[in-house]
Parts: sequence; structure tokens; C-alpha cells
Amino acid sequence: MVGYIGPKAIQYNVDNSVVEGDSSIGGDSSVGGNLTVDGNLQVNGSISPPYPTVANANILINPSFTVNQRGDVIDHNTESYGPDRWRVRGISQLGGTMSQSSTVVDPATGINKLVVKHRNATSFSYIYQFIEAVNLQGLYSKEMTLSFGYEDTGGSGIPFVQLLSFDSSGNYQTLYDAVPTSLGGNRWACTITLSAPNGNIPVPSEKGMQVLIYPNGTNAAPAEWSVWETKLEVGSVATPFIARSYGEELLLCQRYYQVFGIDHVFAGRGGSTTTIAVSVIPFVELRATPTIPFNVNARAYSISGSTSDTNSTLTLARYTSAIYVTFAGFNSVITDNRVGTIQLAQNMPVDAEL
Amino acid sequence: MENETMNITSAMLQATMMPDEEPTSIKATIDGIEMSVPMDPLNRHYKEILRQTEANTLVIQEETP
Repeated sequence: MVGYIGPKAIQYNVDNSVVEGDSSIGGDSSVGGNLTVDGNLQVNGSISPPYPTVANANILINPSFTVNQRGDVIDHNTESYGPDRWRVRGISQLGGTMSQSSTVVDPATGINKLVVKHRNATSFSYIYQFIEAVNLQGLYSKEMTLSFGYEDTGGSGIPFVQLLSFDSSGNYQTLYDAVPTSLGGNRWACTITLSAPNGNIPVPSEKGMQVLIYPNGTNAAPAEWSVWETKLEVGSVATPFIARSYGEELLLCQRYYQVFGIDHVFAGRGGSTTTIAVSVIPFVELRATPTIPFNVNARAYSISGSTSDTNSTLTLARYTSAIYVTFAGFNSVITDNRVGTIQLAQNMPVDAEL
Repeated sequence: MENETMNITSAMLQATMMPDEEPTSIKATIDGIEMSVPMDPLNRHYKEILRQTEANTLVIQEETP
């Protein structure tokens, strides 16, 4: 039958319906001209040509585990970081003789997967990420959906999720604490409405949320489990996962952790005959003044060409855009207020994690 | 499940290299590794040092000359 929708402006054909106001059209339908809907339009079938699905922004950082500044394979004796921003439970908590994280690229799909291995674990395992509150601004009272891929060996194949939110005092409330909904194809999702405990939204650079993914329900950790393509987004629907570029992801991670590598050179000035003070300028501004190693192997150079190698003791002052560090312990290599340089003989991590 | 485990076995104020300047960092042994921890209330290691100090499970030693 051929007819008109609403104000008779649009010709259409439809199998068995008259459409006015909030409407749905049963059966296969086509619209020859433009279609304007003032109310809701529900389509249960497919739209042809396909309407592009919009992928929402992902709030998680390093969601596909491609950034690994601490190393490609990490053994977790205690709870500690594996891939950037993601912490993994250690054997001191879950028992057994192994808790190891690494990543592997699926040869069929190219998807980068986090792989966690355990041996004879007697307790549950998990990974989690803290989300900085500044990245949640404007999202309180809104629905948010977490989705991810999961599989395991030696477990139930079913994950478990906890979503927590924090207040301005660091107290937290549980927003989700259950098995998520299966989307099929080893993909899982759950939806919450974001709120802060008692409505006290934390300060921007503090913890805002914590996203925890457990393998095998909350039973003892399986021998091996994998997580991939994690996504936390606004709305009640899990939209497709689209990775950011690696460089973009690395910079996001470096707000929380950076490594100044071997041979990195810092310019500074002599503070005494045995110390040189330098400004360590981070690649991106850090979330907070970072923790640094107490000792780093380094070589000092004076302007006259003399050098001194030592396991230098580091003292830092409180800055985030530039970290003022004094390297001490050199052998009479420089004079007060003279120019000197430091060359690292080992990696120097700076840690501003949540 | 918010809490992380952080085993802090020692904490000592670090003298700065500048005379008459108050310490701005703490030498701490955390999970067996010696670190220089800034006295920044946003730093997670410093927050944990304060928490353990308030719980009387850790004492921050005075700086050594």
C-alpha cells in the first residue's frame, strides 16, 4: 500500500501500518523521499543502506594493552603494574607460584590481548585500572557501559566485574558487583549510572573510578586468562571498540608513568663538588609529583671535561611540569654553580600513578 | 577491592641540598625497593606513608645529617 506519514509530505510504501506520532513500521518498508520523524521511530530490522554506528569515546587508558613501559613480560610477586595503567594481583595474595602478565597479538584478528598466567593459585585474581576524576567530569548521573573481551583456560569462561566510584575523601562505593552480560563472541558488558558516594565528587587529579575485571567468576584464578579491547563509555549500549593511535595512547599513559632511559642526558649546575642539580622535564605533565628511585647509576660531566661515575643518590623537589632532582655522590667533579651534565647509566622511572 | 598492597618497611626524611630548606621528600623502602617519595598529598606513595603513620604501623625517621 502507498500512503503518507503525518502531514502527508512524504510518500512511502508500507506493508501493513499507518504511522503517526511515535511510530513503528512492521514488515519491510521503504521511503522514497526524505523521512522526518518528530517522535520516536523504532526499527527492529536492518536499515539499508547501513546507517554508520558511531563509536563513543573510550574513557579507559591503554584499553588494548599496547603500551608496556615497564616491560613486555611482568612477574607479579605483589599486586603491581603490568601494561601501563593496569594492575595485576600478585602471588603473595592469590597463592601458587606464578602470576605473570604479558601481551600477545591474535594472529587471526590482530587484536592485542593481555594474557595473565597463574600456577596453582588458591585465590581469585583480577586486573584493574583507576580512572582519574578529571576524566569523569560531566559524566556523573549518566549511564556508562563497560565492555571487554574475555576468555580463559582452566576456568569457567565467565568473568566478573566490579565498578567502584570515589568521593572527595577517597571513600568508595560499589556501582557494579556481578557477572556482566554476555554479548556473544566472548564479549561482555555491564551498565551503571555514575555517582559519587554521598554526591561528593573528588578533586580532578584524584581517583574517580576503579574498573576491576576478575577471571573465572571470583573463584580461584585459572591457569591462563585473557582480556582485550576494554571500553568504558557513556550510554547504555556497548559501541564498537576503536583503538587510538599508539602515540596518542603512550602520551596518555605518560601522565602517570614515564621512563628516562639509559644515556639520557640532563643539564644542570653544581650544588657542591659532589652534587649536580638538574631539571627533569617530563614528556607530558605528570598527574602529581612523582616517586623516583633513591639511587640511579649515572655519570657526571663538568665543563672542563672531567667525569665521575657513581650510584648517585637522588633528592627531588616538588614540581610536576619539571622535576628538580639533585644527583649526589660524585667525586669532586664540579664546582658550586658551574654548569655540568648528568648521563644516566640505567633507566630512571618516574611514577605519578593514582 | 580498592586497596592495593604496599609493603613499606622504612621511611626517613631526606635532607635537601639547600641550607635552611625543609625536607620535601622521604627516602622509603617500598616492596623492597628504595625510593625517593615527594611530600605531595597527591602522590600515592606519600599518601600510603601517611596512612601507615597514622595507623601507627610506620614511623618516619628524622633526616640524617
